[in-house]
Order: sequence, then structure tokens, then C-alpha cells
Amino acid sequence: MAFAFVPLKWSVPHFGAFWSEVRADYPRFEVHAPIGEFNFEFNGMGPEAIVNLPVRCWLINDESNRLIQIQSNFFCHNWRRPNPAAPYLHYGGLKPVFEKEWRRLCDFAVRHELGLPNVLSCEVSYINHLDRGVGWENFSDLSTVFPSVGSFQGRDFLGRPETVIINGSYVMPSNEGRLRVQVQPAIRQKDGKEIIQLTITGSCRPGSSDSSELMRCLDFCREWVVRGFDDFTSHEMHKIWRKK
Amino acid sequence: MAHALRLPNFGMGRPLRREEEYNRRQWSEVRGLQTPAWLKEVYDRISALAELEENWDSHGGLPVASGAISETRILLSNLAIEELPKPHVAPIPDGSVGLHWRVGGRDLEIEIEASGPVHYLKTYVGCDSIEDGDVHSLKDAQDALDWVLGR
Repeated sequence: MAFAFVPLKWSVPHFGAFWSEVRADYPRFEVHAPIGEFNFEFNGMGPEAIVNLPVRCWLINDESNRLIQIQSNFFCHNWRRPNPAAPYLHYGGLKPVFEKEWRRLCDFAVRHELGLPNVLSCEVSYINHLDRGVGWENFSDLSTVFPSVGSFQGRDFLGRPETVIINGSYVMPSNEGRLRVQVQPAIRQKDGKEIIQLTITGSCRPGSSDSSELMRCLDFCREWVVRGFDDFTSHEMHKIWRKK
Repeated sequence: MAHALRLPNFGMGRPLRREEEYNRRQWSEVRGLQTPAWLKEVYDRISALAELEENWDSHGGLPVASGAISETRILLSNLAIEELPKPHVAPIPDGSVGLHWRVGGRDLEIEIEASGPVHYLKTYVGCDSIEDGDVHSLKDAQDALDWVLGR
């Protein structure tokens, strides 16, 4: 789950100050390059040297299953299953956590005179790993996983494809929203297995930055993700996943 | 005077495509299978080693161990290999997997044993000098790959 907002006057010290407030819950951090384009401002020669260094901070919890990403115009909460035996955390369990962390950020921004974030976009993403050998073997089998997709096999000249990437987007009827569907061939680094990574992302523009409106938008995006996933994937795959 | 530079993204030589931007928001430990271009082919070649039966080389060669195959996949998926040419993948009679790169005058062989140990062998083409050793970590393996690239 993520919110993108009009950039705050968020600078390097704010990362540390915010981390000190949430460190008990997120004891580890990583610094990453920001998402999107940024102005890198510097004045190394002048007496009042100014450097504005755009970065994105990751704050990670002890169990390494929850992550907060912050940059001056973006806030994101990610969850992942640390191992296959760990319980699956559903949207209903994750949304209150996201709401709590978002409130923490808003409180922090107000106290540090950055103002309340003006949210431009709400986003919910769902990532699924489809292991090779479970319902699909090669990329001409994609139609058995995603019934709206063909085999990508040529009529005469081309054989079956080595790999296929799919990027689709669907218009939501309101809030300037889009549902993006991404199918990518990938390798899971933990066990080296070949997978198809299916990422479904719902995003929409909220009517205001009120908490109730933002949460409504998340629910709306999530509903599209769930229904989109169900609609995009085959009944055969649903049977396999239910058995698992 | 302050200067403002428009930077696409640190570490990237070109602006990110939209799908790449979305990937970077995710927290998924995966590596795309399309870069480098040879990765899928090499993965398929490694998978095919599992089909070899005993005496595949007519000299009593052992079947390639599933552990060696999965370790090879894990190794490749965790290393910076984008600038390397396609490696030659070969079974080794003791059930290990061998990867071989030649870049310019440098040869690198990495051998992944069924039981886990990984070894490397560095040679200069046409020279007698040889360096071999054990790979204890991903960094050791990356150092060997950097060597073959002349870094």
C-alpha cells in the first residue's frame, strides 16, 4: 500500500528524526535511490553550501516481513511472507498497520512544520509468484495461466517464445484510477527457482487527503486488485492455488 | 549560486521505464530473467543437466546432483552478471556443475559441488600461471567474476 503526495520540504535530518520515533518497531534501515525524477541541488563553492540529496529510506521490522519506504513525496508499506510456512497476512490485517504508520508520518510532518501531505495517488499492489512446473512449464503455456493471453507461438516461422513480458493497464470507472497488470519472467533469489512474477497494482486519485477518503481509495484499489486477479487468471490455476 | 541538476535516477544511465519504477517500489527478492540476454538459455541448460544419467560421458560419470543444480541457480541469480558473456555450462563427472567464462586472455572456471562447496580456477590463456581457491561467499564469487572482466 502506498501514497504519493506533493513533495514535502523533507530533508536528510527528517529521515533520522522520523526513524528515531519508529525505531522500536523498525530497527533496521537501508538507504536507496529515490523513485522518480528529482532535483539534486548543490552549491559546494559558496560559503553557505547547500546540498539537497534526494534519497529513499527503508525502515524494516525485526521479523523482516514489513517495510516502510519514505521519500519526500512517497510513503509505502510493504509486507512479504518471510518463509512459506509463515501465515499469510490479508489486507484486513495490513490496512490498520498502514493507517497507523501513515498517521505517524502525518503527525511527524505537522510537528516538524512540513504540513500535512497533499495526497495525489493511492496504491495497492499484490505480488504473486507462479513457480515453473506448477500449472505452467514454458512461456507458450501462458494461456493456461492467463486465459486472455495467447501462446505467443508464431504461425510458421517462430517457435515458442523463450520469455514473455506483459504490461497491461485497465481504466477504473472513477477517480482517474488504473489497474496495472504486469507479468514478468524472473528468478527467486532465495531458492534459484524460475517463476512468473505477477504484479497487480490498483491506483487512483483521492478526492481529498482526509484519512477517511484515503482509506476508501485503498479499499477501492484493493477491490479492483482482487477482482482483477480473479478475472485475469484461469480457473485451472485457481484450482491449483486452492489445493495449496 | 546553487545549481539544480535534473537527475533521472542515481546509478542508472537512462530514465526508468514506468514498469521499472513500479518494480522498484516492490520488496520482492527476484531477479528478472531477461537480463543478461543469455540468462534464460543458461538456466535451461543448467536444468537440462538433471536429465543426464549415470555414465553420461562413457567413463562412469555420475548424474549431476540436484543440489549442485539448485546451488548454481542460486549463485547466478545473486551475482552481478550483466556485463559478462554467456558462460559455458558443463557437467563434471563427479556430479558437480561447471561454469566457464573466457574474456580476453582470462579464463575463469567455477565448480559447484553437489554437497555445497564452490571452487574457482583462474588462468591466463597461453600462460602456466594458475590460481585456484574456494568460494566462501557471494562476494568471493563476485570477485572472481570481476577478475575475469579485468576489474
